[in-house]
Amino acid sequence: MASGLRNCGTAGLRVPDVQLFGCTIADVQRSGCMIPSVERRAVLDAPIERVWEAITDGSWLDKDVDIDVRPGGTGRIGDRSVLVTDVDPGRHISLLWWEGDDVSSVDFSLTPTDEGTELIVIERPTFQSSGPVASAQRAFAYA
Amino acid sequence: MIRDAASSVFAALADPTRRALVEAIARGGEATASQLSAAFPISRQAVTKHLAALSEAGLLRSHRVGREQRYALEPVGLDAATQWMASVGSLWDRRLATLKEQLAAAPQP
Repeated sequence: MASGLRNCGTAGLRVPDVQLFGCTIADVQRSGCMIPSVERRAVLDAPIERVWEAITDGSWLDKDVDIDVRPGGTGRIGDRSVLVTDVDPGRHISLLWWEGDDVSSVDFSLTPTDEGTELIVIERPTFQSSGPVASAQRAFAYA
Repeated sequence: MIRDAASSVFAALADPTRRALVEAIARGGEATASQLSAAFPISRQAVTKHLAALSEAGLLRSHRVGREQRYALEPVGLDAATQWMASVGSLWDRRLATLKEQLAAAPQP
């Protein structure tokens, strides 16, 4: 379970008072990792096929979910609109989801483990208005 | 709204020159636009513009000493961004708890 900027070490704490999600400004500047992300890992006690089914069914995200699970597929999760940007069936799905100008990319990755299935969720806010959505929609329209 | 404040912080720091300026100010304690433009390969005017953007996002505060404005870090400027990250994280914790319950409630036949 982690939250914050990825791939940021804690070496070289030259700026002790300034921490950006666990990274010093120096780390941020050196690695250029300025896209904030929220990451969660969970080990689920179920085979990967069942977890994939549950993930893409989406009822764990909202009561009202309808997603066309293929690249370029659209749908909604509650009040959010959804655009599927990438699918590796049974393994990985990437979405853009948005409500008004509030746009995030969300990645779900599944890996089988001895105990069941590891799920990694990463949400990255775009901190932009609908620009990323429009450009993804254009890309799929011409694909 | 937290997200709006967080958004302006991330937007301000998205620029590598601004990150470098923040780092320089953090290291030096405080600095003027002239000092910074001497240390960076950009004009004083460009430095001033970046400092204004960082101040507007709440990351810097400044006070006047003589004829010059001195800039220092405003650490609470990061609070909104940190809060936003925490609220998104706790949403995911709740969703994952729901997913675990769902999978446990319908075990494999």
